Amino acid sequence: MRSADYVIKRVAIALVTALVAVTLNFVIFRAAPGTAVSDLSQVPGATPALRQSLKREFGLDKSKWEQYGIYLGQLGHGNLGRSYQDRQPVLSDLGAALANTVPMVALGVVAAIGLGILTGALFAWRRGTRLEQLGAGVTIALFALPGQWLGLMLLIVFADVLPSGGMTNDFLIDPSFWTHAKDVLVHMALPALTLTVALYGGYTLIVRAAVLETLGEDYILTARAKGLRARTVLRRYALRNAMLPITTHVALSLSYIVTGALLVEVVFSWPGIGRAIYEAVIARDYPLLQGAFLLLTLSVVFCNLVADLLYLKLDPRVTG
Amino acid sequence: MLQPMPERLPRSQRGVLRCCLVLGALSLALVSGGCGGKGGGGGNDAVLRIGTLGTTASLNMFIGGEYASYKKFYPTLVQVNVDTLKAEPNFATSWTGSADRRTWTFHTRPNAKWSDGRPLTASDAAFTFNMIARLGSGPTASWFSYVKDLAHADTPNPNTLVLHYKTPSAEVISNLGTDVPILPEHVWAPIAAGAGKRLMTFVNEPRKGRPVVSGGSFMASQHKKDEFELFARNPHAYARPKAAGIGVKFFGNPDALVTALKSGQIDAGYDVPPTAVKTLQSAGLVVKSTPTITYDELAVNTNPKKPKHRELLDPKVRRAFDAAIDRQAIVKVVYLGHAQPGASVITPAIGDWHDASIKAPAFDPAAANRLLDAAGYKRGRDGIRMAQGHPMAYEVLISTESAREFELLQAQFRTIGVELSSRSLDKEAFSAALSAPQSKYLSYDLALTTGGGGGYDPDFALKGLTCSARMFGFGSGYCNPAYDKLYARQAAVGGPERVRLVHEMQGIVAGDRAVLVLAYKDHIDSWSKQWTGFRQAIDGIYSHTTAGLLTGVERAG
Repeated sequence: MRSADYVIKRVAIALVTALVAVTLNFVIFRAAPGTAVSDLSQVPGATPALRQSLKREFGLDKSKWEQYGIYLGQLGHGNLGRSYQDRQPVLSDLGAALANTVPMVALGVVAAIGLGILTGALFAWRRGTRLEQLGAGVTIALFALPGQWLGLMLLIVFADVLPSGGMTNDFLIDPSFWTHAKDVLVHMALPALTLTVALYGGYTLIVRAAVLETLGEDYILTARAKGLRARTVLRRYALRNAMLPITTHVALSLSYIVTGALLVEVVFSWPGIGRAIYEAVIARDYPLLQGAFLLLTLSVVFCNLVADLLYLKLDPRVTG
Repeated sequence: MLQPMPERLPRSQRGVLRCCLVLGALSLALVSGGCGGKGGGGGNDAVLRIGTLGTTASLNMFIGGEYASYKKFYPTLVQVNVDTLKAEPNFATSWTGSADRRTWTFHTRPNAKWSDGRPLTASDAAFTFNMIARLGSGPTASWFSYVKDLAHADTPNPNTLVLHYKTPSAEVISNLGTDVPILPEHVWAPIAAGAGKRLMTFVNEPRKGRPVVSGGSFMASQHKKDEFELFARNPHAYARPKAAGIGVKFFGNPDALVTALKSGQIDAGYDVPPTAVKTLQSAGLVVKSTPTITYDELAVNTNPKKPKHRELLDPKVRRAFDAAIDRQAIVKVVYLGHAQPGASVITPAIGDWHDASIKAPAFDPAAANRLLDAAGYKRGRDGIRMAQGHPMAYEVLISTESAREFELLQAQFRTIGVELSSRSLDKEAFSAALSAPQSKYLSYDLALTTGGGGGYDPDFALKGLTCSARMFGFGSGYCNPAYDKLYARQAAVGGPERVRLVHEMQGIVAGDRAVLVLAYKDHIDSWSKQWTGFRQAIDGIYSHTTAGLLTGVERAG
């Protein structure tokens, strides 16, 4: 298969996946019991008129097919609709949430990837030693920990030294850029650390397994027989050839940066995509959920596509 | 098999060490710049920092549900004195009702101003009520019930408001007067023009350092969706607050809220869980409980059209259920003492409205067993009673928060040969399952839910038990036409007669035993001793039921 054919095939698969996801986005949330109307109409001044008014406003008085048509039509124009919760455009709500999510999750994920590659390769290299046995045990334990529980524990442990919620100290009056940056970093510390610890175990185990596999190859023996330094053998031969599974895992994780870490954001009251999705599920805010999951789907599809295309560079056999 | 190489990797290890040192230094930097800073200033410049759970969507009251917030920056005609439970002046300094209760006259504060310096007069109030009434089937529907019988509001002079009603209305002061925020006409009139469609998209937010045009004690000066609200002291306020402002931080979970309170990141915690009380007390914080208007209930579906488990329509079965419930255990285990055993659908929190003669039934499983035996519900081999050929085994709809309470009920019901299983649902799914199919209330058997709510007037709590509440999926489906007749009557009469009717209605519900009231819940707040002057309403210090509670709060010393 030529490289161009490979690229076209991968892009086509990505497009079909996105289209199917768009439809599923519409169906799944409407299949859940309850609607935004039942929530919003249970207010102190509730009347049947309120229920009708809300249904009209949200277009929920129309048939499902009509709603689907309107949804596709709006999507075609890049319009994700208005959130039921604050009646503002979903695009702007998601944009603001995304801007809050990306730095925190990126810090946590990138740190986990870096540490995972480092220690995974080290444990593989030092296989059979106490360091490897201890390290593997710890990483498996960390891998098994639920992120939200870990977050709560860190929150309690660091209660007196780090902020327990939010993204900034809103009581700072006209902070300078650096004061603000430091403030955000301080608030980011616990959620990002939670993500790092929660994801670190997975990366380490995958890298360790992949490197162990390559260390058994003949070319490693040849490299060593040539008298190359240990570090060179590990970096240039073992780790590079272990990059295929690592790339897939990392690519999928990068989509995590966009979609947020739902429970971690809820635990630390971080105003990002994860918390927005959580609140939208509770409120049955269909437009926001559809928008958020579209973003999620597209980011996963995009990152998978990037991983597929990287394979071209990393492993020429894929076009063979 | 390839063995690990004997060579060490000194440079890599040095790299790891360097990484560790950098991370350590970063941690120290973070810790040194972390919390512990006591924000808020001192004396009259201090901003009270309150933490609460939940979210904040919009400062536009036709979009959001932040009722407590609206009452900080928009005035209401009256407010409730939380000690006497009587109405006291807010924007209106005095008021009178005509003998037929169709005309209500309010005298408002002269020379009052909005935060932008424009006059705040009775015509702002008239505009607000007339606008809600005019657009009640559309954008203002969420507030329409307050003005549904209002013919019109007028202002013979700038300081007098007259409300003309189509029918006698007894709840004007305690409902509309206390609850409905008054909006600045000069801001909202253009928005509400025509069909008022802009009301549903209007962004009522502070902009470019300018607060929302406000008329309460505070001004809405900052709003970050789901994160933060800041209410600065309104320089034109007729009731000047002692604190320079109130900052409200919204937390995603109670642990984070409690942690922030303990570590001094906030000054007060609104609605803290009972499990945190001891921790907060030992951290030197003030913790206070107050009775609320809400209660836990075990709702029994008594819809006569119910196709399955029709034995639940038998009053003897419900009497047995009532006697099998150990309410003291619920108070002790679920609420750690921060509740009272429940009996009536109007709680003691709102004073005379509560019928104190309705007592919680004695916990008597032996009597419950005797009742069921006498009614012919015999036990099967497995100990579960049989009713009309099927086991008395019921699914109970529960919310995720009431799992512990369900476990207690499950154990208590097992002693009378009734098997309970649970179906845990989130709020929306719970509401849908309760009223299924299509608001007909035919499917569910039992539901563990929260009843009551509203404010100091019992209307909201009473309305949820009317047959018409079913039409909009509200309440647990209870329906008794005799109750509904009294509900209609009490709305038109005032004084002791209304109290008597409300008591009679509570008696009907208690006698029907379709709503088994389990516990009257307390509301718990906690605050730093560095602040004084807090008062709690039935919904705590950050109240949506009355305005003015935080104007007297100030930094100690």
